[in-house]
Amino acid sequence: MSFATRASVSAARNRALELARGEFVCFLDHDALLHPEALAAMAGKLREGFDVGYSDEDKLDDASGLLTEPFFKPAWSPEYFRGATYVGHLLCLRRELAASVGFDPALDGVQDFAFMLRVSETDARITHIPRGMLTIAEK
Amino acid sequence: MRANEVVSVLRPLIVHHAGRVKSKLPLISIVTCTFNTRPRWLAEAAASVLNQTFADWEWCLSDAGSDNPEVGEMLQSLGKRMTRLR
Repeated sequence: MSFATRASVSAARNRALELARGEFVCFLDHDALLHPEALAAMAGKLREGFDVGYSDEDKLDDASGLLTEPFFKPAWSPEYFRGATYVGHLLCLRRELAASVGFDPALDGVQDFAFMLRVSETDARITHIPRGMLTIAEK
Repeated sequence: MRANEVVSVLRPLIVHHAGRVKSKLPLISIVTCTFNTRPRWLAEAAASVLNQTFADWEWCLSDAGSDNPEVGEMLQSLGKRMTRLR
């Protein structure tokens, strides 16, 4: 656990990455929920030899309890990604890769897109899991 | 939900997961940053982590300077109970 006073989200992410010991890291927002099979599906893909995996996602309408706004994403295309930030959550990747790319506090607000753009410039093998593995609970 | 209820709500899931952990080091680290996180959503997020069919994970938490002191207290009390929380 790590605490800071008025830290940027990027700095907080970097400190959390320093705590991590796993071969892979998954980013889970504090207002999001994992599908019960999310890590199993990611672990399966990463063991196949991929370095990065991202899944579809949806949202929870808290008043009705219904899942809404499913986001069915396209397969990985670095060219398309330059103009459309569709990777989002759930994102899992090799810890060493995540740590070497890191989050730039100067880019808070677009930190996720900036991070994934830099990942896409490496030779990482990136794959899409076409299942809703993460639900955004509160936005 | 109140901050001091989070751990008691999660206790059965924490005990169940602890019994499923076999390895010394996790394969996957889940990284979550908190900021003025409401107790209910922290509990829901934690439950979704603890309910994973894949058990070999750790949960790394980093607070981005919450104004609400309850957030830190929730994380500290969770950390005392969850072996795979960092």
